[in-house]
Amino acid sequence: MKPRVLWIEDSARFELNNLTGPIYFYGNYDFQQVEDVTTAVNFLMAKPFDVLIVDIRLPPGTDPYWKDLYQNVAAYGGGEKLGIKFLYWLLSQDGNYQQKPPEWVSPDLIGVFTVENYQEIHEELDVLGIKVFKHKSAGLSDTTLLDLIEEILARKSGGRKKQ
Amino acid sequence: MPDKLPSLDQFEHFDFRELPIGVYMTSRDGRFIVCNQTARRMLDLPPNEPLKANIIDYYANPADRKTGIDQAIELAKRGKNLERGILHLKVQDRDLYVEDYCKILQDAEDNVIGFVGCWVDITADFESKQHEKELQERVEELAFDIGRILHANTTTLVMVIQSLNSVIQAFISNPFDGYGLPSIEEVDTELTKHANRLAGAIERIKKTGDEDRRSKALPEHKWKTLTDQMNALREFKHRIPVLESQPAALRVSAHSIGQISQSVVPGFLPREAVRDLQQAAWHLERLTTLIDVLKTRTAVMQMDYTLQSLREYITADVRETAIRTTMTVEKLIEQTVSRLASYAQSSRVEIKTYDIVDARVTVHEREIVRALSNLLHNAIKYTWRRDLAKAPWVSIQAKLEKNKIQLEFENWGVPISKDELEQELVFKLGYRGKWSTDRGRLGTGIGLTDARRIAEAHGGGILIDSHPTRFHKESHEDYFKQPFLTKVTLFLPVAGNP
Repeated sequence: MKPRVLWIEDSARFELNNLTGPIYFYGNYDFQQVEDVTTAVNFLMAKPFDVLIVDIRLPPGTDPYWKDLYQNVAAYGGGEKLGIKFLYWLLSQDGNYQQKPPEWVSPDLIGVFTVENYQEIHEELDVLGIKVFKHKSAGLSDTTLLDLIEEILARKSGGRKKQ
Repeated sequence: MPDKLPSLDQFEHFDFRELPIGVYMTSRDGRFIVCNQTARRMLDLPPNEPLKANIIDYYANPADRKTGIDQAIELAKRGKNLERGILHLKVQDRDLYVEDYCKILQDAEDNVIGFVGCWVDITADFESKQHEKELQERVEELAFDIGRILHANTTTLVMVIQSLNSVIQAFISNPFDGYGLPSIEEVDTELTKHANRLAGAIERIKKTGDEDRRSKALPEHKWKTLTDQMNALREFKHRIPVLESQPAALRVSAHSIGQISQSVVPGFLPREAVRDLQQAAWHLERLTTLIDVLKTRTAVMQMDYTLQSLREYITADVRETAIRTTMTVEKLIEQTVSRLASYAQSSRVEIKTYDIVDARVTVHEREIVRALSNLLHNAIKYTWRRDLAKAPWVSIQAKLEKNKIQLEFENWGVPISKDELEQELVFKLGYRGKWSTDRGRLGTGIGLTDARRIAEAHGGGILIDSHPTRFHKESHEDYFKQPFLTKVTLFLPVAGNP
């Protein structure tokens, strides 16, 4: 059975869709993508994934809880980093949301792929135990997303990522 | 029982040392003779001990003392006292700002022998105003810097568009006719045609020659790749459910097949079959690249407008105040349409204007054109194709109602929900409509905020109406997937009216 991958990214369909090209071409993964936190929560509660690639700047979707957080700039420095709040919930470090996160999630299957520099968010990533990080910038290769997925899977299996 | 009044006796015997403002008396050379409790607290002096301090030691800038004394003496000659002078003192490392009211003391020969006065501690207020002033200066600097940077980036975008135009021109026989963004249907038709052509070419080459010749032409794993890709090409719509990802995936496939076809060892397979495969791979790769370039061009046009708008928004306060001029509504609309013509063409959206009232408005032309451009830009950006036989369009109408000009921008497409309108979320700076990211629409969330601010500054405003065109029950699962008819009206007073 192919590893199941979920990419949580609001620019997946447009500005970043080239990154999905190699994933579909090689066809090695059961690959899905969602564009907001509400939809991501629904997907994650429905079935387990082997790899999660998460953006930090995410729109909330329709759930009032995430919408409220998104609009409450004072809450934690900006609605534009809703992805951080989502990760805290996902890894059971924030019990404010009514829905409990799925039990199969762990930090080693998550990679963060975002426009923030590592220095801007490394403290949160350290607290959450997330080791895989990729910065979005101009000049990304087409295989960036594929490489991220492979890196996470390699770490999970205890091996080094293939060069 | 009537309120008891304080007596004169109480005043005359009142201990000024307990006044809630600092009271002092110094000699000419600055030695403190008298210092009430409040002043002692300000200067961190012991409350009851004899005074040994000198006011000179507390000046942040000692030169200020001479200036202050000279000022007080000068005022005294005119029968006045020094009032509301601001003293900057330093108490150890702490800054102390006081408002000083001071009178000189003279002996019988009119020599200045000292000073008496009082202080009001204004440190908190002063520092806050100072901070505010610094922030304001910083904001102005930033606005100027950002304006310059955005301007420079605009010229970079011009270069990018020119280059993209050249690239598109080089794609001879562009099936999408021009620089505009192709529709989903057009892309689907072309991708299907070329994917099937390539799949067919693979199928044919697989049947050429015999197994021995084929194995000499290409290694086993490359034949496997070709077979896998042939199946993938035939089922691409099923395997790649996200429409927007299809061109990217097919390009990788086409490129890979093209590489394989280049590596065929000559002499073992019919040249026509190999050439057919190469051509088909090349055409599909070319098509998917063209789609990408057209999309990129439209995105850059969008970015160009956004940057210009952002630059104008940020530098609005920095520019000198312009004079309002009276102009026709028609002229305003002409300028607005002209400004967005390239973007509309790139997006393949037609701008229709009708029923433009013959009236005048008195406006800051640049500001109002920007406001109207923001509204027209949104209308173009968020419009869907209503009729397959016609290009999508947006309409502009201008009416006169109760001495107000109503400039209406109407489009059919992306929904705005009722709660976004009722809560005025769409006017909140930085807010992007819930459905505005449909189909990759870039935006800053500034357009409507800026437009309303400008309209209100002109004595007008903005009204928005957006309602569904098919299902009217919000509980319907496709409620927000259906097209909405959105009308954004900017109203202004007629010239000569408030």
